[in-house]
Formats: sequence, C-alpha cells, structure tokens
Amino acid sequence: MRRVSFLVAAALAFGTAATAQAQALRPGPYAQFQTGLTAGSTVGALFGGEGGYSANSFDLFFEGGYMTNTKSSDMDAAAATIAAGLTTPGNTVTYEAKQPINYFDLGFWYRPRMFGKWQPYGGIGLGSAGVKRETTYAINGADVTGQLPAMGVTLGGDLQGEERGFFFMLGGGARIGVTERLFVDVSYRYGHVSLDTDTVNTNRIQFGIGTHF
Amino acid sequence: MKKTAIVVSTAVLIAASVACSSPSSPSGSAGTSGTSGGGTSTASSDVDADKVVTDKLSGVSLTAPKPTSPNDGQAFKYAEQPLTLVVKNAAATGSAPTYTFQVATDAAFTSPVVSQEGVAQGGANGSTSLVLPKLAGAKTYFWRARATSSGTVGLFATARTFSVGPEVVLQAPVLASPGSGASVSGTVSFTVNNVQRSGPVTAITYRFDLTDSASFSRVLSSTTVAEQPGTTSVAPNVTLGAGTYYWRVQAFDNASAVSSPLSAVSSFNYQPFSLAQAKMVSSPQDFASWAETAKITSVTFFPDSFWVDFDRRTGPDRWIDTPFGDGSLQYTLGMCVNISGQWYCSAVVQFWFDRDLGASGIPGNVSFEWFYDPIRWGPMAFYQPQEGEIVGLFACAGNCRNNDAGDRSYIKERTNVAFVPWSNSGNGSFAFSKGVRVKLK
Repeated sequence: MRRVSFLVAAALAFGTAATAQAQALRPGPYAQFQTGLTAGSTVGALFGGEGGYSANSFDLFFEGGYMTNTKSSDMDAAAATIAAGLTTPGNTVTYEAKQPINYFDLGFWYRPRMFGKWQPYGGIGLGSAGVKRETTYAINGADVTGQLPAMGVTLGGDLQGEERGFFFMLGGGARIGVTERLFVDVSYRYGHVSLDTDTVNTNRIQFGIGTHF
Repeated sequence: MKKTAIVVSTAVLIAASVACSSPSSPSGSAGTSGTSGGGTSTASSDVDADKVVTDKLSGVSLTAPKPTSPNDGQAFKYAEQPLTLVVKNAAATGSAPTYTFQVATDAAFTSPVVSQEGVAQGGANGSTSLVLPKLAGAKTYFWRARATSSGTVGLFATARTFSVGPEVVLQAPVLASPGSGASVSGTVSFTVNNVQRSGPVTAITYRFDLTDSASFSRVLSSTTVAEQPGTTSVAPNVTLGAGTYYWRVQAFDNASAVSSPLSAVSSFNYQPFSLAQAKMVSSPQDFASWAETAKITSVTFFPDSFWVDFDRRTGPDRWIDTPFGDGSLQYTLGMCVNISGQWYCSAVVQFWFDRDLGASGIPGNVSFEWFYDPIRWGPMAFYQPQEGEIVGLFACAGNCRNNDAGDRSYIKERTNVAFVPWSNSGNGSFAFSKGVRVKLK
C-alpha cells in the first residue's frame, strides 16, 4: 500500500512537471517528496519529504524520512563474527544485517543566487533520528533468530536494538524550476546521529520533486 | 486545474513520507526488506524482540563458549584429578572475552563448588581451559561456562555433567619382617602387613624398595608384587653382601592410580650365609657337599614346639630310612646360628618316618634341649636364639646327630637351609616355595 502511494505521488508530480517550463522559483511555502540512495558500507534507499518557507535568500525547512539501511562495515563484521561462532560442521549459517534510520530535522537553506534555472543552496538542520539495528540469522536457510538465546547467543547493541539520538544534518544541492510552482531538487545531505555510546554517519544522495504554493 | 493537481500531489507526497518515517513500527521496517546486501527477504518481525533486542545500541554481541571437554556425562576416577574444563572460545564482537566457569552439584547451580571468573581466553586451538581444584569424590557435577566481552556478559552454555568416583585411600604400609635391626641371612624375604584402605579398591600391589643407604639414594632392588591374603611377601632377586640394609614399601591401587604414603623405613643387618663356610658341629663335616635334594616347605612356631617340614618327608619320593637301633631314622633336624659372626650348624633332633613334627621341642628350650652338652656342641652349647634372631633350619637325611663322618646317612642328601626369625614365644609361621620364603602365614 505504501509503495502504491509512492508511485501515485511520483506520477502526479512528474506528470505535472512535464507540462511546465523551467522558470525561477517563487518565494513562499513549498513542499517536496524525496527519494534517493544512502551510500556507505552498503547502498540503501531513502524516502522522505521536506516542507518549508522560502524567503529572500533563505528557506526555513522541516524534513523527515526513512533510510532503509545504513549499516556500517563494522556491523557487517560483527554479524559475520557471530555467524562464524554459530557455524558447526555441516551447517551453513547466513545472516542479514540492517540499520534503518528514521529522521527529522529543522533547519535552513541559504540560497545565494540563481544560475540560470539552477538555484543552489546549502545549509544545516538539527533534529532527531531513530537508529535501529536488526540482524537475522539462518542455519541452512531456516531462520533461527528467535532461537539465538537458546543457542547461547547474546546480541548486543552492535547488532540488535534501537535508540533515538540527536541528529545533525549538513547538506547542499540545487533546485531547478520546472514551472512557476513545480521544481526538482538534487542534493547531498550528510547526517550525524549522536547516540549514547555510538555515533552513526549517513550520506544521502537525494532527488526531490516539489512545489511552491 | 493545474493548481489543484499540484496541491493533491504534494499532499500525497507528504502523506507517503510521513507514513514511511514511523520510527518504531515493525511493519515499517519489514516493508523495506530486500534492500540490504544479503538479498534475503527475512522480515524483522521474525525477531523475538523480548529476547534479543536491546534498548540501547550499546554492548557487543557474543556467543556462549562451547564445552568440549570433558564429554557430557564422562566419569572420572578420583585419582584422575585435577580435571580440566575446556571450552571452544566464544565468538565476540568486542574485546577478547574472559570466561567464567562454574561447577556445581545441582543443575540449578545454586551453590557452585567452583566459580572462577575472569579466566583469560586461551589461544591454543581456539580453546580456553580451567584446571579445577580437587573435587570431592562420589559425586556428579554440573559445569558450564560463559564469556564476557567489553562489559557484555554472555549467556551460559548448556551445562554438562561429569562424575568423580569415590576416593580411594591407602594408609601407609606397616612393615612386618624382618623387624627393624634384625639380622638376616640366606634368602632375604620382606613381609608387609596389607594396608588399611577405604574406597573402591580393586587390586593392590606393593613395591618393595631395598637400599644400602638410609636416604635411599641408591636403590638396589625395587620389586612389585600383587597383594596376598593378610600379609604380602617378596624375596627380591638380589645378591647382598654383609652389611646394613634398608627397606620400605609403598602400596598402589592401579585402577584408581592411588598410591599410599611410603612406609616407615626399616633396617636389617644382612649376614651372608655359606654352608661351606659354616662350621658343622657334631654333624657331618662334609655336609655342605651333600646333594640338596629337598626343600624346606614350612616353619611354624608354637609355644610348645616348632614344626619344620620339607617336601620329601612324606610321599612316594620321600627320603629313605636309615637303620637305628631296633628301628630306623628318616632324617635329623638341624639348626644354624650365627655366633659372633660365625655360622655354626648342627643336626640334633632325630625323626623317624612320620614322627610328630612337634618333637623338635619347645622353641624357648633350645639352649638346654638341643645344645646341652658343651663337649659335643662346643660353641653352640647352651645357645638360645633371641626373639627375632635369624636362624637357619635344615634337614639331614639319615642319622646326622653326633655323626661327624656322616656315615649314618645312606643317601647323604640334605635340604636347603631355610632362614626364619626365631620365636621363643611360639608365634610365627613361614611358608617356602622352592626354598624361598614366600609367605608369613
């Protein structure tokens, strides 16, 4: 159902955009849908949204979204270590490690000036992010994650659990006006989540499509 | 129309975005399956969150160490202690784990008899071990281990059991003969009282050590024999010269690998005996050259007599009789004693066939019942062996009493000279096999 929502939204947005011509962005409230990739030890998907108010050279914005997997190489190595410990002769142990993050932050963009149809911007945001780690194990294809305690396995926070922490975002990109209201947005956004005993860094490469009201 | 479309599409975008950003919805994370590198479609809802999900993203992960030795249910003899517990090292994502070993007599580990924490991980063969202190015997023990890494305490591995057999205890052997300071001649034979013991003893053996130094710095003979009823004897195969010797005994239960403490050390003075060098008194002077055709088989002391038997006294192969007065004599019982370092031997008591062995006389009356005439027995006259003194006993075929020429023996045959500790009180019984003392009855 959620996936259908995305498709409908994207179709509407692109359909509208296709009928318009590029032009300068107008001030006032705006909103956009975002999707893209997270880059790191693994490539994950992201979905999000941003809304704000454009005034002169600044935008005040609020963004939120969901990164499907931001696992680090350390998490992969930890999962592999435990898998090796579970391996017994004749049995094959496989695992799947994920680190999804949901986030939101409030910030501002600085827009220096237009470069043709391009409106570059950069800025920061502050907010909160929930980091979740989940690792599943299977022996010979059968999921044994629920039996791990009985098998003597203790999964620590490096492989399982969730925690919410302070989220700092630093990013930049450019918007391209498609019509008077409609625009597309390409950006890179670095994120840093501060947890009690850990930190998580994210790299988002985003494509957005939105509209001014 | 265009404005309406934009508004609708934006609203849908925002709604979809908010729906995706639900921070803790299990279905939300499940819906994103297949995006990681694993390529599987396992949903996170399969995870038993109550057991494996922590509140904070802190702490490391680790597996329980796998017990490898001893095997589950393995039985050990008590003497096989100390036992060593071995586990395959845990897998840990943090620092090198340390290990906790617990041993208890109950499966719940309510009161562990051993609880050792902080055992450093071993590197050899990827395993870690703990040598246990000696555990009480006749018990079944449960044991388990767990790992700790970077502050995260892991789970205990499934407990295993092992059992320790009852403790076998052997007391120090008590030496019987020869007594401390005794004089010994002929074949040396040691006798020890069988040890006091407790526990499931199976087969006890005794090791007899013989040395010529009180410190046992040079062991001349070390002979191990199986336990015999009551007492255990051995005649070490060793040739001794004159001198003082020391001996001791240690008992072993081989099945349980338990050994007793060493016995006390006892000494004896060995006086080599040579019949050829002994002085025959009032008996055949060439006695040493007579054929030794029989063996003393037993010597038994009673308060009123002492019995000396040999293997050709009776039976179809018995020594023949020699005429004596109106009757006949079969043999003459003789004795060798050491007086001032010189062995003297004399055959004194005449026995006709099947005469009562008690005719040898009262042990304490030898001085005047055997050697009563100074003219005939000279240096042996009135000699009374002391309690425990080693004397030699023999039989001389025919009539050898008052017979220096030995001509009143038709066959001129003799037994060996068997040495025993003398007993004036009439206690002691000795058996011989092929001339060697084998058993204190």
